[in-house]
Amino acid sequence: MQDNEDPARPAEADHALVERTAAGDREAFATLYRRHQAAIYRFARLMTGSPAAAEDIVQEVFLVLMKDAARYEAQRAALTTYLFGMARRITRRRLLRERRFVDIGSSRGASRWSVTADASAALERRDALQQLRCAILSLPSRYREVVVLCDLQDVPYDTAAASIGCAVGTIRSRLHRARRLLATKLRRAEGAHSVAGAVMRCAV
Amino acid sequence: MTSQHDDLAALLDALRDAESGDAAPAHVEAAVMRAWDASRAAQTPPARLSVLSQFASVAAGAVIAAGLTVLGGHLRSTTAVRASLAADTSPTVILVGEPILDGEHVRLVRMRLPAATLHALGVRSTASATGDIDVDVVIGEDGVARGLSLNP
Repeated sequence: MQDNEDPARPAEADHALVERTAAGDREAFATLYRRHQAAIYRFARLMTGSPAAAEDIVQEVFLVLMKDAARYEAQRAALTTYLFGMARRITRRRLLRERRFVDIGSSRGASRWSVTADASAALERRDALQQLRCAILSLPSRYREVVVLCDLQDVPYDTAAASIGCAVGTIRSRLHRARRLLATKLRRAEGAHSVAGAVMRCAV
Repeated sequence: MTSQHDDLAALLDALRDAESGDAAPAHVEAAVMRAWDASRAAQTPPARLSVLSQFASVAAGAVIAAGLTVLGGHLRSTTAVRASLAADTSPTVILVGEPILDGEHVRLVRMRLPAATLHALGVRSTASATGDIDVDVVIGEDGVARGLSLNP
């Protein structure tokens, strides 16, 4: 979850940075932002299917951190857990409020696969990833969030459990169920050549 | 089933790799840091006063405090006068503002005021709070009242 930090300098612990942030240290807050924003952004984008919504969620998460840094208790949870938990709440609230259609075709990840040695294979792979994004977005949010956290963000099960507020066993069972649902959806989608650009409803 | 599971795992790995380099655009960081700056600016205490202005503030405070003390003592003394006169029907005299100078031309304005109005202004008299009180106001050359005489 660490991005854009000088590798020559030992990374300062999150809790120390949060303490400095609470004391009004701008640089500490900026370091926390740069360290954690990418993971929060990817989580939010995969959960909403919308880069614009993900940007809003990142902003909201860090505005809350800015305001409530003094309330953060490092002994209760790692900052990663705290931030994912906050991002999850904000995302769910947003999806519940908007219940809007999400343009899957606007997902920017697809363009990353545009050039390979084998153009045909690249197209197939891009389509496959797009189908997977669609399938993930169509999962109920309780399954979607565990796939996004554990399978796509490599968040440990205990951290995911703490962020979501459930037992580790629940994470395991939801993940198992989510993967089965995903496999079923992808199998059904095989008949269709591509669903890129399709508009589908986010399951909340 | 195992093959499907493997396919899904491989696809998830590919998606994770595809997403791994993505991050919020720079304008999001700019907006967040602007919010930080705005928040801190709102919390920053006003600029420190210079030594001179601090001294002036203290001096002004001292003058106000002294003035209020004198005025308070004066009002207490007039209250005492009123109390001492409460037993009879002599008018209550309240001196306010500057003393009357020798040879100063003054005017006397007589008016009748509701006792409740005077009570509300902190001027007590022996008259009933519901009745009227005749008040003589001595006004100096500068148009400022010099004294009041309450006639119950």
